[in-house]
Amino acid sequence: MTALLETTGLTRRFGGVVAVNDLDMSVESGEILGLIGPNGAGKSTAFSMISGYLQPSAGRISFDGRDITRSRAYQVARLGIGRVFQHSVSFRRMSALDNVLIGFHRHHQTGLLGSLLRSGKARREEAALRGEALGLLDFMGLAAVKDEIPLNLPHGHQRGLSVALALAARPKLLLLDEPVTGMNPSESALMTEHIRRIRDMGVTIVIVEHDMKVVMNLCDRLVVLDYGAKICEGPPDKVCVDPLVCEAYLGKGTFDAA
Amino acid sequence: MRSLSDKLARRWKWPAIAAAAVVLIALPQLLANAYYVQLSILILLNAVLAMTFVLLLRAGMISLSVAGFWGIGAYASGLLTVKTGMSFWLSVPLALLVTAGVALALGSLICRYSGLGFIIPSLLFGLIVPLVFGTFSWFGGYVGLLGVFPADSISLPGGLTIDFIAPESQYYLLLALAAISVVVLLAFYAAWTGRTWRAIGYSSKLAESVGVNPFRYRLGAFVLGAVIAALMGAFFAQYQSNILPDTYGPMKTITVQVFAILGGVGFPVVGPFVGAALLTLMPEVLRSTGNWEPIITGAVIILIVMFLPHGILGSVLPRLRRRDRHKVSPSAESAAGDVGVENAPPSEAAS
Amino acid sequence: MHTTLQLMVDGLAMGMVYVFMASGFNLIMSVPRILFIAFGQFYVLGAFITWYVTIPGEQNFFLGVLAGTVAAGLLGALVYVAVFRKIQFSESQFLTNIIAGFGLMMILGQVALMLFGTETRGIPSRFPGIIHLAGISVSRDKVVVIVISVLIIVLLHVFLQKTRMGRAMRAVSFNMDVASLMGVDSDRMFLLAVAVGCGLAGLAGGLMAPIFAVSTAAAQGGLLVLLVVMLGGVGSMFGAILGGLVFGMALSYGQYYIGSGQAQIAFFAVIAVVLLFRPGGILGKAQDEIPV
Repeated sequence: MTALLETTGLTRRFGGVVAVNDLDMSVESGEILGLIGPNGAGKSTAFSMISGYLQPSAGRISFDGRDITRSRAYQVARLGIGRVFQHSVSFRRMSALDNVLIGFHRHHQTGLLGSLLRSGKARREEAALRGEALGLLDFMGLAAVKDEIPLNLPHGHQRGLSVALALAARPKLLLLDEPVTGMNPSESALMTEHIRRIRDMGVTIVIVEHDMKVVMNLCDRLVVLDYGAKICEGPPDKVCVDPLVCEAYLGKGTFDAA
Repeated sequence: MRSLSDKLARRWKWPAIAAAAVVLIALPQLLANAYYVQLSILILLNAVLAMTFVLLLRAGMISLSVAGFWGIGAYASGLLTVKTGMSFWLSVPLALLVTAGVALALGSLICRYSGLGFIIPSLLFGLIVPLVFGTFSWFGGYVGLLGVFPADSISLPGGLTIDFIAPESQYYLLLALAAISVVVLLAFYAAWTGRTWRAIGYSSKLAESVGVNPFRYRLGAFVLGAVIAALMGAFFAQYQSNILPDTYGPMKTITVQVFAILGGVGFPVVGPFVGAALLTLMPEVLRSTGNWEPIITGAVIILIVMFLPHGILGSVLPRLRRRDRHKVSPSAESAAGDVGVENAPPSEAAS
Repeated sequence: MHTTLQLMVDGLAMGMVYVFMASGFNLIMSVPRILFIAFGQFYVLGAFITWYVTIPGEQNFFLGVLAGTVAAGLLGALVYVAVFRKIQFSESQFLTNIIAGFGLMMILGQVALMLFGTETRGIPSRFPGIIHLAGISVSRDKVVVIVISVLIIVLLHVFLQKTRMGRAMRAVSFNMDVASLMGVDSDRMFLLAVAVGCGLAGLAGGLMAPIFAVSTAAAQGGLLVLLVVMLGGVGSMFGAILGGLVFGMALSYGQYYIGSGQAQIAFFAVIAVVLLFRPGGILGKAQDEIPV
């Protein structure tokens, strides 16, 4: 069965530096794939290329049967790839609810004229979407802060808001860039649980993360990058004993699956 | 979870608007002489221009082209009426069309970029416009375009004729045009488009990740702002009768920016009014100080921008904008942060 | 042929004004990121102080230029401390700086008018006479200006590239946070940049006093300087130099061959085209690497 997302020979060079080197990767529908590797291994660069923010130097990316190698970020988003960024980005001074509402952009039906004239249809759709946005906030445990601006929210809530926003676009594939970095253990556990539930809703997930506990518990499969190249892939328990992987991580911190 | 002040704001919103409307309509009757009516016209005009600046600011662009489009509207309408004897009322939509075309062309080039990559070309455009009008005698050269007639009178059924010679009638004409502009702007702000503009202003990267095409929305805001400025230009041409090219240069745009920022960019309609009123009336009030007037005015501008980071309205009505409730150090707040335009970021292509 | 060379030398001399102005402006724009629209006023200050020292004061011309430069630099430092320092570390300082600059422009412009009046003054040529070089006649004045300018540019270059302070300033212009990690006090660097930048404007005013007339109207050129900087490339001192020279030459040739008005439009059109293909300016770095 064809993979949902597939990269072939994906490469990105910055001047003399090869950030991603001939990456062949595929993501199966419904799985949670972990993209791991030491710092600077090229994981975020790969994400940026897949989500259309960066043009590959070479190689191809295909999603759901379509070639998205040259597609721009908003086109990729419209096809169904969502992304949660590494550092909490939000629409800083709009309420949490308004933040999530933006996420419905590709799905909202009301045309410009109707929207300007506040037609009955426009108002009904707005109300419906507000309800849906509230539902998403509630799903992430943020219903209580729906009127707060992200600047006032603690870090954990801001991450949750980012996820809610990404979900509003109803993605088929969700790219999570370090979702639990900077969180304390209880927040981590909460986010992990949310990610599982998102997968259960039918969303395929690729996650870049350094927290090995989370990676081990959450991911069905892992792809390990080092210096931009894939050095190992497979189920977590197999990957963690691979000698190449251990060598890559040697001295860079513990790599135990406890 | 609405706070008390939010509730208060909602209760008084419509009465306040009604009161303002009444004052605006009755204004010429209340004022002592024609000079003050002319001042009011200037304030109103500048306020609307400032509103277009805020529009673009919301969508993440710092535009130095405002006066340029104002000028194109003025010259287009003026030239049409002077050279072809066309009625003012017909020249307006044509002038708007011409401006929209220019804005579309320019915008297609520059709305792809953010930060300096947008600002500099917009400045170039702002410099070229008065230069072109001044250099080529077809436009009237540096002497200017002379003899633009005031708008032709309208004959209403029932024999009543409205003419636009007196300052009061000019005021009402402007008020009508300004009202149309405000209604259009507010409609956009309340609609999906307005929310999207704000989102793009805060983070076009994030907006893209949910499928928003930032270029299209920026272009839309750019063209809309240009057209509204042009409308004001068409009015100005027939108001002034003689229009000079240098009026429409980047200095005017920067002056308009000052109005907008001092008023408070968190308030896209009322803020520009406050700013324009303050800075137009202050020289009048300070007339007695003679030579010191620009110094005092300049000092006031600097003080406001240093100590009232959210503008006058933003500081006086803090609850009406979503303010930080946890203490952000005052120096970390500033005017255009309200609409998300940050330190002019390194120019980035929107692709 | 003679004419062309003549125009080139003229252009070089004129260009020096723009070189200094552009360098100063660029410094202020890349280090503390201020779009300093009040910049023109410092040129005026330099010019007038030079005039005062040289004519009523009857001192050496170069002393006058020095006085003008120092005065402009000090005023710049004062302005930074009083106004811009507070603004620098806040959100969206770019716009706030423009507004503050506007207010400053009003104040300084009016003060200049009050102090110096509206008449245009001139400084008689310090080095009267013509040099005949390679078949062309060049006024000595202009040669002196060119020579001194080159000296100062070299000095500036050395300062920025070789001295600790200069390198610290450049570090801040690239990345404020990393620079502070290395122990650089950004605020002090901002102050220095503004002082040096304004000093350069004063220098331009003073040096050019014998060639151009001295008047308060000269401040209008402020926005034009921004264009020159953009042409040469923001963030690059060589760019500012190049931009200034190109501008001076273009003006010189343009005025001779085409006439002032059309020349300006043509020039702007050329700048527009250049920026279209190289948005960072001729020597500017690629888009995502410009420090500004």
